[in-house]
Amino acid sequence: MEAITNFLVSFPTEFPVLWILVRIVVIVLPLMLAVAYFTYAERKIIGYMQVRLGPNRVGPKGWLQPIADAVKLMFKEIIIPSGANKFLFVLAPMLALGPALAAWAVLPFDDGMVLTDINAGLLYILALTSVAVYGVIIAGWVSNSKYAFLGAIRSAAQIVSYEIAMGFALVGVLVAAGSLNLSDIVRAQEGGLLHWFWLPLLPLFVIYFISGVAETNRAPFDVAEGESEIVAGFHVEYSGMTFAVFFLAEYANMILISALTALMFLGGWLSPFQGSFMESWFTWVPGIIWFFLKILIFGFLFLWFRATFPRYRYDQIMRLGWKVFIPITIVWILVVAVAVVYKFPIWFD
Amino acid sequence: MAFDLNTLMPLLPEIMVLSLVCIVLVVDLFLDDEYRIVSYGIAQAGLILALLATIMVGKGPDQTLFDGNYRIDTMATVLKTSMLILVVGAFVYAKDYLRNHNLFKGEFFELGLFALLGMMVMVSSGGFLALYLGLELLALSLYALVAFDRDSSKASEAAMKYFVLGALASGMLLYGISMVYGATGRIDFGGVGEVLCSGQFDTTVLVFGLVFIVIGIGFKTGLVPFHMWAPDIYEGAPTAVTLFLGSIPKIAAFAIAMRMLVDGLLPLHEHWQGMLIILSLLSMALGNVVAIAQTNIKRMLAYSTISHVGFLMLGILSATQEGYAASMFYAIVYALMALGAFGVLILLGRQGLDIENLEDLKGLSRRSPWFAGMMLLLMFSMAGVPPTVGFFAKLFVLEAVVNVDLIWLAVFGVIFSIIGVFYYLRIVKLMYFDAPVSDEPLSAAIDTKVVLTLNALAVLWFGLFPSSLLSVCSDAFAKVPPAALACATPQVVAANAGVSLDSDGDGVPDSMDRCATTPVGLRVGRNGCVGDSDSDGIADQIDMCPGTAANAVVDETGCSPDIAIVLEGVTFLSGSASLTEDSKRVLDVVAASIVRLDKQRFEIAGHTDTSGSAELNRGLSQRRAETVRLYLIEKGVSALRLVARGYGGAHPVADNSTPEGRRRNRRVEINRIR
Amino acid sequence: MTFEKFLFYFFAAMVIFAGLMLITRRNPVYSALFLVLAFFNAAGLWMLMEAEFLAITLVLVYVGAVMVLFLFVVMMLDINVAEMKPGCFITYLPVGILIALTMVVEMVMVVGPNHFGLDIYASPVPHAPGYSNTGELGSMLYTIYMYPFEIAAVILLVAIVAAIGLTLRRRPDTKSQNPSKQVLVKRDDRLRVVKMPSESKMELK
Repeated sequence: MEAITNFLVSFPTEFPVLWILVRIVVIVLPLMLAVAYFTYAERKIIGYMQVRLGPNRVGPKGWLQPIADAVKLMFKEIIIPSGANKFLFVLAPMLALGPALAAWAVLPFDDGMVLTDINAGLLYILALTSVAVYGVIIAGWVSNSKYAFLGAIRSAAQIVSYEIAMGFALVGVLVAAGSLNLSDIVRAQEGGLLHWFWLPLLPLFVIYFISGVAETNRAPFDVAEGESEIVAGFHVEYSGMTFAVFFLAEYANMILISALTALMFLGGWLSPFQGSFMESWFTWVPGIIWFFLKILIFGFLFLWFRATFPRYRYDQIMRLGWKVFIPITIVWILVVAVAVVYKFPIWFD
Repeated sequence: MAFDLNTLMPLLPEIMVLSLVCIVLVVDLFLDDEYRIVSYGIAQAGLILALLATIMVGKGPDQTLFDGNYRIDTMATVLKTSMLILVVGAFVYAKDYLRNHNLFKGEFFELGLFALLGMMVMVSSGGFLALYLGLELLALSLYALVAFDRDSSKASEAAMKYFVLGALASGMLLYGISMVYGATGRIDFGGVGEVLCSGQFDTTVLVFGLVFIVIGIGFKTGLVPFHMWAPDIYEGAPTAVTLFLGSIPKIAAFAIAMRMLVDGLLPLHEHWQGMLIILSLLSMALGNVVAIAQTNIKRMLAYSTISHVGFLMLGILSATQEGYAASMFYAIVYALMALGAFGVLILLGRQGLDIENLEDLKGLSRRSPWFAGMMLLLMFSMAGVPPTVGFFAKLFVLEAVVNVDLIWLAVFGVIFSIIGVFYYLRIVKLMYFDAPVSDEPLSAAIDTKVVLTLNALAVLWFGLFPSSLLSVCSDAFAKVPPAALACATPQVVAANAGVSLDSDGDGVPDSMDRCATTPVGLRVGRNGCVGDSDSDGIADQIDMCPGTAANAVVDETGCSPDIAIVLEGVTFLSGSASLTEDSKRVLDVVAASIVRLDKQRFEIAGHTDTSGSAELNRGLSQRRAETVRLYLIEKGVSALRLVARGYGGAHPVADNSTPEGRRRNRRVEINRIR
Repeated sequence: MTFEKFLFYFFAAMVIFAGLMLITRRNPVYSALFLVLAFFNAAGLWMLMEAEFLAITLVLVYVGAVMVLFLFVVMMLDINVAEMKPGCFITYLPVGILIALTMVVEMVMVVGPNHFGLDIYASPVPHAPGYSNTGELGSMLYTIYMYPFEIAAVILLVAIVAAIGLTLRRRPDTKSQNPSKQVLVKRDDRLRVVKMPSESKMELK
């Protein structure tokens, strides 16, 4: 018994690389599971919104549906179009999924519960989300197909445009928190619901989340896929596991955006009752639960949007990004900067 | 943090030009096409204001500001003044051309002003970094200007060539600069010069970098063999743009060569002199010979520019004060002549028609004797025929070269300039002795005519009275040492030049200065001395310990070197960390002192007595030390040089049991970090 | 060889490999993708030098924005790869190789260990764990290098003015909507209620 305890205690220092691997697995496996059940949730929720039942055949209440989907996709044949570069064709889905997973390395789940606590966490996130577009572009180009290419071009332009607004929104957060470290950003929001950044940075909060929806190519910004016009956009030629990876990437990205929004604007692992008379009632709730609840809110919003809004027309997307979001973020950064310099209460004193 | 507007005053001209661009940019957005003239008017008015500001600011002392990135001296002021005047002229000429070619847009003036701003930045750059950025600002604006007529394929081609070669040149220059930085560890001219004089550098690396820097200068100024872009761009660009880029940037070209080679790399003079000799010799030869074969007048003027830049470099490579002055004279005069020559081309143009070929000038004397006369003056001046100013410009640079015993170079210069006379005089012949192709009268606006007349007459005026301009140029370099004395002390340089010098730079000449070694930058009395109440040799304005015993050994802070410097009189309200007014006064002196002790790092140590908990005391002392640090930073001390640390009551200097002892223990010390 | 040294050589070799592939590919899309690879490895090199801000910004700006736009254009170019003649490349190859070789020899001689070796420039000491490269860069940029920094901003402004000035064309024949007009439309602009006398009652027979 003692030997086992000793081993467990000394494990992190004895085998640092293995220890990191273990921690990565501990993050990625639940994440993959979450993605699977996120797809289930989507079908169910949208189903109820449209007065349908949604999947209910596989397993009790359809709970095994995602597993069945995964097994189906795994055994399907991967068809590589003639004239396509095989290497790039297979690389593209990985490029889409990789950044979505890698970003979790710097996300703090609770105070101190983070894989790597790097100083430039926010920058790292920005860089990774901007790299994710390569999966889409390469997939569209290498598929050798008109629909796929159209989808890729649309998606590239859209992502690059919305990334600017997103980046500016993050600059606002950075100014308000005074740090690029995500844990420090959360700590800067201590003090309860009203101290979180969603209030002083309200425009940035809204813009960040909407841009996030656009970045993940979700409805109503899903012109890159646009089932009704360009079939399925950039991944029209993908099948089997390669398609599944794209699918995973999209949902992993949605969860990532939800988590980031929760961290930067809704105080991450902080309890909403901090500082109020109810604080003591909820001290038993671990921070990670609050964090997951906040992620759920935004995850639900993603689905709600899809069930509610019709698809934007392409020029309207561009207009919204360039002519509405970017100017607003720039103005609000100025406002935040002034508020920080003059130590505006209650957030910046 | 307090921000002193006075530090921005020397930058006033640049700030005004930048604001001007922004105003034009915004106003132009809301103008209909027929009111476009308003943008032009604003630009011109702003330029005049900036000109006044330049002259006003130029009266101040020579200074290096912004941590060595910005330098204002007589050379900068004179060059900026002339550039501003010439840009006003260029805009007047360009206006007609742009209207005739449906190009009358605000962007022309915006880009022109941006280019001007870039040149102003270059002219008063104090380091390689600022200079490079100024150069890029100029270059980017010019690329866009060359492509300004976007429906003309010729212009687009020219812009493309210019862009590619310009980027290559920038790359070369940057590579050279990085080598210099690698070898010396400094990026400002003053710092590089210091390191070069100390002799602690790697010659191979430096000369390697120098080669690239000279190549970069060669590309940007159009010296043979890096000239290939010039004729194509002159020909392809709209004439209004050629006018701009063919004249005023030559002044900036002189400035970059001066700043980099003389301000920064003067001790490497023997290396760059050889390179410049080759470049200028080739430029003079090729420019003058190939120009003869041209039938397109813009191409001809391009080759003429190449040869003129070759001449211009003669003065710089001689590396003497009169050489620099001669080159500066040449640069200003050349810009004036080129502006006039292109102005005449614009004057002759009509709706949608460019004057491109030499034939178009035929018989100008019959169409307009007055402007034929003006063109005659300009061509004589370019050829170097007395009494026009071009003659003196050439004379002065040749004189400078002869004075450094490069007589053979001067001889070649004379030979090639005689060859050059041929093609300038051919234009005169075409104007006066050939029959005109058309009899159409000149249709240019009156303001163009007036400015052109003034321009040409200025060429004559400066020819008749060259000393009016030359004396200004000479003044600019009165303090620049000749190459042989690049690393000598100012006294030696002064003795060598026979000038009474103000060696400590306090504004009181040495002959009247009783304290000849006051540190730079202090306010002094009429006798050149500063107050020093404790007679330790360190002026009160920078004395951290104003009460040291007489004859005590002190260092440059005014304190005894061995013991910690306790800031007497820096007190805090009890239990708080805010400074009292008296303390601020003491700290002002300390800040002044630290600012002067370049590169030294200091620790600000806060101490308290032992009453209260140790934890609290350490926190309090830390906050007090931080307050002092922030105050010092506010007063101009670089943040990197200060560390604040609170020790609480851990290091008492007196007995904590008496009130007097506790008072002495509550203190702030400043210690040097070695 | 320490792990860091191995990483250095790995990244450096990859940069050179990607650079070589970049200039030898016929298809510009592959060239662009190899450039992306080169950027990533260069970012790795900077990361080794503890310049994490620059490394991440390189990826963010060049990979995430510049190269995406670049690919965007390159992919849309209709280049028939087979038709692109290798003629030019071969003709100028000897001259190119000669110049490149000269440069390499010169650089090895000058930039090599003789002049930049460890005995002249000691290897940098690793920073303390709390060291923030981003913060250090910021404090330098906004104090000592404030003036150059501002000029760089002006250069970007020139780029904007130039790009828009050279490319913006107002085409009168395009039909476009004005959303603000659409939104501001009132009922009265579109709809007119006309009072009509009601038909006279018909007699029911």
